[in-house]
Amino acid sequence: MTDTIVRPGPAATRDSRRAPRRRRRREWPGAVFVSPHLLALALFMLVPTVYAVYDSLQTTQLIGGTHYSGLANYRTVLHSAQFWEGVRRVLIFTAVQVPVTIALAFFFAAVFDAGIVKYSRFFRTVFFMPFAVPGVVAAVMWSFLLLPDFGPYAKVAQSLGFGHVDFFSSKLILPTIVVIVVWEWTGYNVTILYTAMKSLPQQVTEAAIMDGASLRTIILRLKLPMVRPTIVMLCFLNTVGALQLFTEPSILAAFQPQAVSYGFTPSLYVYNTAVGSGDYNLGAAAAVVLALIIGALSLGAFAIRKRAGEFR
Amino acid sequence: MTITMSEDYADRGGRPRRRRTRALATAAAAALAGVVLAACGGTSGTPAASAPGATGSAATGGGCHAGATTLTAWGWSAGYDLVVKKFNQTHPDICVKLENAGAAGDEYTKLSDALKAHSGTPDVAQIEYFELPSFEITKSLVDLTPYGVGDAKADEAPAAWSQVVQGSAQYAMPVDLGPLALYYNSAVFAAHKIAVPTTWAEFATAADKLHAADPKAAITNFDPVSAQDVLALMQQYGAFPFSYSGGDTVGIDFTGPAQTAFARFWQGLIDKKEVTTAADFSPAQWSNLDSGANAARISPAWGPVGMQGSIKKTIGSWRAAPMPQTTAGQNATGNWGGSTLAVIKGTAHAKEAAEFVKWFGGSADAWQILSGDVAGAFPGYLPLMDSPSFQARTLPISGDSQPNKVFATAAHAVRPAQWPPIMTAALTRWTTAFAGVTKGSTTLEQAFATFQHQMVDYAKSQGFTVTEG
Amino acid sequence: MSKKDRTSDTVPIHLYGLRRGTVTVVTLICGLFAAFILAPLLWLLINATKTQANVYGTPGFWFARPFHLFQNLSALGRDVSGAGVYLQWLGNTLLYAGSAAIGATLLSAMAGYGFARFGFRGSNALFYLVMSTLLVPITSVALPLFLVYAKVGLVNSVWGMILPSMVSPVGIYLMRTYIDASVPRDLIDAARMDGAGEIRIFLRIVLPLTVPGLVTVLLLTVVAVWNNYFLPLIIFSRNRLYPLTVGLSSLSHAAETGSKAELVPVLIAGGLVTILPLIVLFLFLEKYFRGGALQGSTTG
Repeated sequence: MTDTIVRPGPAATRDSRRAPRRRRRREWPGAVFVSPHLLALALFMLVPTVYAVYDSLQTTQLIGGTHYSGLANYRTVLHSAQFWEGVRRVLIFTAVQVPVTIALAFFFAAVFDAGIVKYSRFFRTVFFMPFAVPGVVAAVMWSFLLLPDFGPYAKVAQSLGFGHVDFFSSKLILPTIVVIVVWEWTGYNVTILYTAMKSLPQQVTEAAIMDGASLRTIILRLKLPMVRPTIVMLCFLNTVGALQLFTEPSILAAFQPQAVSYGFTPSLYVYNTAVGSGDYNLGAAAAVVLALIIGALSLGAFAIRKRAGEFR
Repeated sequence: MTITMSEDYADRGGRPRRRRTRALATAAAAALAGVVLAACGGTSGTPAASAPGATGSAATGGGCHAGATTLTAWGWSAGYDLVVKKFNQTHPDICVKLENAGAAGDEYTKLSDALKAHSGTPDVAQIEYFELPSFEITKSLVDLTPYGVGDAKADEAPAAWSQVVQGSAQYAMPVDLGPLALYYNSAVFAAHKIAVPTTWAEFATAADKLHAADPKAAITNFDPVSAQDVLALMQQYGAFPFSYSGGDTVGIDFTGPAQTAFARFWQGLIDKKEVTTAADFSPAQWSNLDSGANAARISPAWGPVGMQGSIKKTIGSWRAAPMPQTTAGQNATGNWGGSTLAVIKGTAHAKEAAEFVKWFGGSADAWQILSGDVAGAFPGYLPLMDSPSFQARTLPISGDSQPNKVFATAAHAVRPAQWPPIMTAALTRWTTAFAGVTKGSTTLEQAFATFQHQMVDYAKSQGFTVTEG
Repeated sequence: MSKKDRTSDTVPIHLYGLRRGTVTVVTLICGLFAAFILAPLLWLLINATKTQANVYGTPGFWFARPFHLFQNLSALGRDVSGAGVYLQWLGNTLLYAGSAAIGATLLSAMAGYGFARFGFRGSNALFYLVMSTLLVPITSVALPLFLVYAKVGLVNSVWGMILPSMVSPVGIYLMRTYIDASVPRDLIDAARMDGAGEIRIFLRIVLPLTVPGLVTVLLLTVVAVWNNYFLPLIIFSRNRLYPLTVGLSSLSHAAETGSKAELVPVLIAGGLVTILPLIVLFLFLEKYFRGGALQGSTTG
């Protein structure tokens, strides 16, 4: 089915058609176009990152000052049970939250794009709204909504026959955070996917309709492959975000400190070490380890996809 | 595919693209203009140097005289801006600009970052008592002794003064205090014919009696994960776990006999459900206090004012009483909270800064505002604290009773506490170590043992010599 | 917008051979999800009308007397916590988010175009470098970033907030993908043949063809700046410069430790008011999302 469709533009055809005659002319503007952004990136991201890596090789003591300590901080992090417990937790979290969010977002983007939903403008606006709520306000909001016994959500759970529900208990805290993150981030993914679908050529869809293809076929066999690069990117972004999970647990910790431990997620471990305890050397080492873990996971995923010939 | 080319290469059916782009650009420009207007001129668009005297950036440079020496002060507590304004009006040659650089931990992080960068440090900063040694040890505070701030000693509560001096040096000027008292719901106590307990043994008996009469009721709340709350209670109990007197030796003792007795006492009440373990300041805590599920709150002096706005039904029936004691006839309490003003290393105006902090914490003018409606701070300043007019004040939450009398008496009875220079790390780790007590999976005694290990390891890793027990 | 635009993204359902019921079912599913999204926001709305004691002491999803909405809203215009005025934080946030979003959109479009349409040496390696910065947890670079800022004089400056927010690896990725899909090579080549300069081509061909992508990047940057807490926390020590995230956080601290002013409902009202500008922005930008690539660029 997909084979019969002529894919438009270079999204499909990899750019290997450089005209040799024009090569020089093709090269310099590219560098000029990317340089402003890359300069800013270098100053605000790369320089501090390099600095952090340098920091991670030092040790600072209240008594004795700073000295070079090689990989000692890395040993401490790698031997920290708390750190690895956090890693395990975010891996589980990511495995649940990312597929759920992207599946929901794809469904909504597809039905909005197909124009088979009434009031789709209203829905798209509503889905986008959770972003506007600042973290502090979200903390107050969720702590009230999720209050054990008194809170409205606990009452709903009780009336549905779940009995006494404590959303902040060790068992439920992670599912609770999944729900909050889905609440917050689905709209973002819908927006990106919807734009991607809107940018697909109409004629292809029209031709498929002429051929009498069903809506399901059009969405799953036609549009899904065409927005696959976007989905791959969203998987990457959501995964990176999920592995760096920080904001939502801190929000819940504001009123339920016992629910969220020092190393609840690796990012919290980094924060509590570098900022909370002022041990920025160890915090930097933990951050480097975390970045390497995320990088390795992403690269692994891309390598598998590349072998399958899917990732460009 | 035949590409149609218009003059701007992209005329798509329906509407020329160019117009749309232009519309978008116009809209963007309009939006930006609106944004700039919305900022109501409050932000200077220029990179402002953080040098003193930078124009118009401080919210409260009010009341300054021309030609005055400019100081930057960081502070977050309510009402400080009003006190600063008063200072500027009454001191023509000094102009203090107050910045709210964030509350507590946020401010300390900024302060230590600025100290590391050797730029952007304020001349004066609000620092809580427990955090002072952490800045002392990095030599970030100016010793105020040469500037005559020591003259203020006679006017300050000993509990406040002892926490700002180290050996012969004075590192800050105390401002307010938070001595503990038992703040109880007199209606509930009367309904169950419970006498106000004067010892911890009587307190436990009262807890039994209340819980037997009403299984839903607990005598009070004990939040294991609130470090400062627990440490103040330990101080009251004579079980304060830290000792420090400058230098590189620090004492950590969470497992001595007094600490173990303390842990077993509270764990016993928690086990019998006679004490709740809700998080301090959480919705659950306020609703427990207002529904009668908590008959009392062990409250710092600044507690009632905040509590008043968060409860409704029981307004008027709360009374303050001295803390229960370990031994009958004793009169000891702990302190939770309170701040100091310290002068920060690197200031070019140490003399003026010292004059400012001395006035701020130790003058009738300043305290008239600090103890007023907006700030609601409890004085460490004796001329006010011991005055009949201050002690006679009433609050709606306490009916016609005079809680300040009890709190002022308590302020004179605060047991000394020596904060160690590792409190930042201690507070960050505390929550995790004690979470099990809230959840009921570990006992307070076990949590103390765990925390003892963690803190000893941490202190050693920071190069300290640790004495245990 | 013309009526034509309003309906251009709706394919009549009979074309898909759908039953009418399907539309109802799908709309219902969207409705359920919308209810899930709106419930907490409804809670904000209801509790913004209460006194602090009623926020703590009355059912969350029902109104209570006295009706305090106007008192809570008016408190947003005053300095009630000693940490500044809510409206000023809102103005600052609009300024930061607006400027950074416009900057980020332009920079991302340029860089995306550079990566998508020019095979300069090392471009792939550079692109992966850009993407790899997403892996760095911001909390770990907080202190180094502050030290960099102290060196270049960006502490307590609005530029210190706006410039780094213009850096958007996601924006580069999206624009690269989008330009790849919607700017035909032949069109650019043809323009070059006609002797158009590179800048002119970018402004006159590339940008107009990628409006939906630009709008997406704009919106996502606004969201990112709107929610940024760490950067302003690190770089501002003057509350006049605070954005909403940091300002409200100081308000919340004052509310928690108890001051005479009842700040919790003010905080809630603040959260509610914060949503309004984003709704307006979304609705305003919404119409630019459509306009599929290549649509109508072929005659026939």
